[in-house]
Amino acid sequence: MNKEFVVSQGTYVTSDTNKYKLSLYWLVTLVVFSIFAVLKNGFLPYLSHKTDFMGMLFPILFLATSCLSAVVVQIIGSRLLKQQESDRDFIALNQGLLLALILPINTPLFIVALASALAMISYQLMKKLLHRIVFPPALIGWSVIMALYFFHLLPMIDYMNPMETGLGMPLGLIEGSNQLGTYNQLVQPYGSLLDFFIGLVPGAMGVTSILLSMITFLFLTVKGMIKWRIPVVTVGTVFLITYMIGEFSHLGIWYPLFQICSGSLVFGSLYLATYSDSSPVTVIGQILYALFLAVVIVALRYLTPLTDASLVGILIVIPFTKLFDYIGAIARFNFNKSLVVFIIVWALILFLGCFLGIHYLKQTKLGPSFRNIQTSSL
Amino acid sequence: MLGVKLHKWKKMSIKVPMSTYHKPAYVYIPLISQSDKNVTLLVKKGDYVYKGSVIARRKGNFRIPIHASVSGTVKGFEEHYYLNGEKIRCVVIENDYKEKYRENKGIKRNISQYNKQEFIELLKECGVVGLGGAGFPTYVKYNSPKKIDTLIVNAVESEPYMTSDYAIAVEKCEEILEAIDAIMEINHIPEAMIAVKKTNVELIDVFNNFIGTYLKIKLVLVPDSYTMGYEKGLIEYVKKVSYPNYPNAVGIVVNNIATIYSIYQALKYQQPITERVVTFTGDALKKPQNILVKYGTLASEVIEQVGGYKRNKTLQLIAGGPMMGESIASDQLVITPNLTCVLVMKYKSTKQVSEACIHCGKCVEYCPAKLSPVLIMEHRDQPAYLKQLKPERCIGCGLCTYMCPARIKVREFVRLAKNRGEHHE
Repeated sequence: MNKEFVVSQGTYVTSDTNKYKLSLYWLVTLVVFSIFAVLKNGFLPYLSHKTDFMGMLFPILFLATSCLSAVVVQIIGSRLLKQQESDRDFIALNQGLLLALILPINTPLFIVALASALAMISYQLMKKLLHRIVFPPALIGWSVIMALYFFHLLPMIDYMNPMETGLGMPLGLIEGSNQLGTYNQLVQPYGSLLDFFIGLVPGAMGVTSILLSMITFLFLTVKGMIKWRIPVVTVGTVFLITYMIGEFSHLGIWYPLFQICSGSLVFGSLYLATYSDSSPVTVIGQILYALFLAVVIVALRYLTPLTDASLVGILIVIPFTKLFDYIGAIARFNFNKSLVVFIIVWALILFLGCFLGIHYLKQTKLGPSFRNIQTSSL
Repeated sequence: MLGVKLHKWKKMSIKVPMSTYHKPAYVYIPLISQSDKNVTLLVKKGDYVYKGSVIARRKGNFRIPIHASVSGTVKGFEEHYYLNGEKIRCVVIENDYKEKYRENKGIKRNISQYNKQEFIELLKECGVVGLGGAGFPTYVKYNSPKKIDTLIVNAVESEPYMTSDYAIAVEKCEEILEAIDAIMEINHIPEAMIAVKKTNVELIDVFNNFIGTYLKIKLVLVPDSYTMGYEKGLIEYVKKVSYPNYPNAVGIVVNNIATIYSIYQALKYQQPITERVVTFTGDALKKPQNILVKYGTLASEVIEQVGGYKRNKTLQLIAGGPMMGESIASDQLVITPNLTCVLVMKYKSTKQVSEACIHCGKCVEYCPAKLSPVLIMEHRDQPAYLKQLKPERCIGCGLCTYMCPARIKVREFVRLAKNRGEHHE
């Protein structure tokens, strides 16, 4: 017997995890957020008689527009650029949903469709020209739209559904203020911290629920589908810095909790900062990336007029991914080689915490000047 | 170190009793030792050779002999497949079925009655090499000026499908314990540990039946994960120590359990090792099982002997396990000391092979050698960057390829970088 066999390269068994599955799990979690978005922005205002039947359906239309636009552009793009249809995954749906969830509910539908189309065009181009998705497509769509239609979106930037009209954005309350604010000023207008945790506070279409973020984080981590260190370290570090800032004025634990529960910090660090192609692959790289991201987010929140700086922060940090990976890869053999970078980051964290803490403490001593126009109108 | 549970494929061969295939008409002894083809041939066509005769000897640092596994006549030279996928020149010996040794050295009653120098010389001349797959000469591990403090016997066998170590451990448990005891006495080693997966209950039971009389030998239970059998990882887990290159730097010797049995044979009979247990397995074989086979036997003969192939569709034959093994074009594969497994399975075409990397980082997370395979793959044409990534540390375990959700053959890129680095040096 002399039998011939097929020759190929090993390994000859593979894990159950593949791109399709990975993409599917992400889709499942994004669908959960979408359901929440529909409930929060459509169903609940309808039950409260703040909107009509069409208003109730609007979030569904919003999500569908984004997905449809992404899918159409993906199909046309892959035909035009003659890319192999090897991706039996849900990239277009995922990015369409992701984009819809980070946009304000009152964004005009044509802008939603345009943002989604831009996201998928950027995806196709990055794949074709760079062979790597340098930025999460949804984030590109979001940032281009925010830049192009800034003045168009400005009046509706308050991210509010009909039920929330009249309320300010949580982080917007301290925007431009020279003080940190109090629990009554920042949290009470929306109920309690529990409302922040559940997500029944003003914010982008579907990013406000910390509870859902935690559940999906656990699900994706258990399934091994996420770089879990990034959201943990980012949120943890933002908590730490804002705790330091708050502690100088003896604000208590509610303050850092308010900071991490507000805006799209948790959702952004979970879905956009961990986008696999644009985030580091090494463990140390991921930790450094997350630490820097937290520093940038806090700096942007306190030192610039940006209300929610999480997504901008991610855009700023992503270009440093390769650098973090380089440090991370070398540090795998000798951790000391990354020590200098860690010392710099921790120094930045301490500096930021102390500097801002002392700055606001001085402001408090100068007298009350908290700008609370929106809450006073309640 | 992260690992992956991969034991599910072992079932097909583990329950079948071990058999023997001892009567090949011809044996084909490859003129290669590990991957070194630089050997001196010592026989010519027409010569009569005894079983255990030295027919070639490796040149260079490790001058270990290559033995005839049967007695008979040298019929000439042919090329056959070696486990690395290459065709290698082999000495063809026609078996006379007499199993004649040049001299009968008798049986040693007490296998501890050697001094260290005799022990090392015996291992060298009997051609005892690592049977875990590396084929590294065993005498070198003991021939170290540094005192050996611990002997770790590796019975982990974490590679999927393979059960040859399990089979030999179950069959020869008493002999293995006797050999460990003798090695400890000869080399003045104060402690020995047998590392077994904690889920391998049958093997733990077997050892527990006999180990009580050997006070210095401990059974160490390790997690059921691939690559727990990897020497460095095993030492780090069991002894909590790390070392730069070789474990003898920290006074540790690691031997595979099958190697321990061949040491036993060398000490007991003082004759060269001419056979080993090989796992013949896979869903394309009719009767997967462990078989004691003479070196130089063709895999095709053994497979035919155990019932042949189950289906005649497109098949794949792998020399070694599915993680670290090599795909071979024909079943004219010769059995050698470092061949642990012959795996025959249905060929699955992977359409996703060329898919782009999604940078999920799984290859980095799971690499037991602490490499960054995806970065090595991306920077393979940048020597300066590559040097920092140390691809030479790759142990070829294949976990990077196994874990890759994009089904990229990551290991091949790392291997390429490793080879390139070696050529530059």
